[in-house]
Amino acid sequence: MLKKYLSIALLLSMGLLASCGGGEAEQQEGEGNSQTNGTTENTVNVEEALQKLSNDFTLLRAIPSPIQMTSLVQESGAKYDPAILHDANKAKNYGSDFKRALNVGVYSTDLGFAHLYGKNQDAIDYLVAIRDLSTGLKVDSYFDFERLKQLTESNASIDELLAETLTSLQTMKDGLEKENRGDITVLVVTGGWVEALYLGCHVAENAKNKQQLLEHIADQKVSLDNIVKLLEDIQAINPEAKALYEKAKQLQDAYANVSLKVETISKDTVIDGVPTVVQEDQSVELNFTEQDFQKIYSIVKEMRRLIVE
Amino acid sequence: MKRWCLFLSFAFFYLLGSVSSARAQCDTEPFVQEALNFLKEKNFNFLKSYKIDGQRGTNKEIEYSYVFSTGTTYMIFVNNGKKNAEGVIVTVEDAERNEIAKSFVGDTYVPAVQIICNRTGIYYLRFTLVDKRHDCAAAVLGFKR
Repeated sequence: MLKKYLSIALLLSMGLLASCGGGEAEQQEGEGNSQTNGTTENTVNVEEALQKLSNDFTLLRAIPSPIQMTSLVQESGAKYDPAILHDANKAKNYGSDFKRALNVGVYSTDLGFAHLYGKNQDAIDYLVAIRDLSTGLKVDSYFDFERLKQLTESNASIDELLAETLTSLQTMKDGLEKENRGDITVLVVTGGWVEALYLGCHVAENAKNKQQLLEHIADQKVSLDNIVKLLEDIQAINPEAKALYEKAKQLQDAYANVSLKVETISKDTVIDGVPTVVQEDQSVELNFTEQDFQKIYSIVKEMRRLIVE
Repeated sequence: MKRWCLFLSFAFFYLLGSVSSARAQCDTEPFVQEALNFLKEKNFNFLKSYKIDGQRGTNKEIEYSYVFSTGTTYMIFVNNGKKNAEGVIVTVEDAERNEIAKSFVGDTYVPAVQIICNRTGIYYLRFTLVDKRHDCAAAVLGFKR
């Protein structure tokens, strides 16, 4: 009798496992053009690439949030110009997961930017665009769009809205990593990073007080190295990433002569009750010519065009 | 009767398994919310949150990295529900692995450290879990300029 129940339990477990496997298959199907065909060789390559990507995820986590660049743009005194941001209405035009993921990143940066300037209607439009793309990507469960909309409409503090958006994005990234869809996360982060760099360059081109912006643009060299490695990984998962990877490599070349060297001395103190390390700069040496800047800006524009077109 | 006993035993052990695994899970959401309030009080903007799950003594150290930028002040706040995040230490190291900040000063835990950064680069945030009874925690990273 006991044997009979153990058999039933075993069958039930196998059934559960099979249904989990089915979900995974559906998920891979949902990724659409993430995988080109079903040959064993390609499946192995994609699995290997996903494994490599998973190992390289520390690179992704280190990439700074676009909000740092957008807040610098605002501090430079630049006026809000919706024409430089991406058109929220174009969200419905993206038919592949590759483009959807990249543009979730772009719109997230634009959302933060619009809200920084108190442009709530624009921010809501970007929220709707992100919601639509997230639904297409099957990641909408990570967002509480109703709460985000309420926060935007109620003129909630910038911190509250951004914290909610950024927390949701991070939950999504963590969730996708667990779902073995790390390629989507890389694309979201890349889209957001390119948009922030584009906004920074656009404003820096004509800003009177652009020293800090230029330093921050120069700083992006560190993150770019990570982006290039990650895009290299996902080429094997998604061939659509090739063109973007090649542009990122060109951008790396354009950054080759750019450097920001800061000599610092660290001092320990306590500020506002919190132990604080102050890195006092002794000397700052920024190597960033106008020619370098124009070259970088031109490639960033091309990268953005590849993403949003 | 015997059949029913076996069925009920099976169901009981199944439920017991579910309950104990749920209890063992580390839910950091309440810690993150508290940490966000702390950042807000200090006028910092939220950048990232980190889940720190020691899994009851299995993980003693968890490390993340982040690119810090020149001219920006960063704050890392740790919360494990204990006063001053006792039992969890965050150590910040620069790209050359020099220790630059630590949330354990003398013999005292502090819940937060801040870094006024003037040197862009990768920084490592290492969370050391000293007390396995309180090794479920969250940390948030904030910035201001």
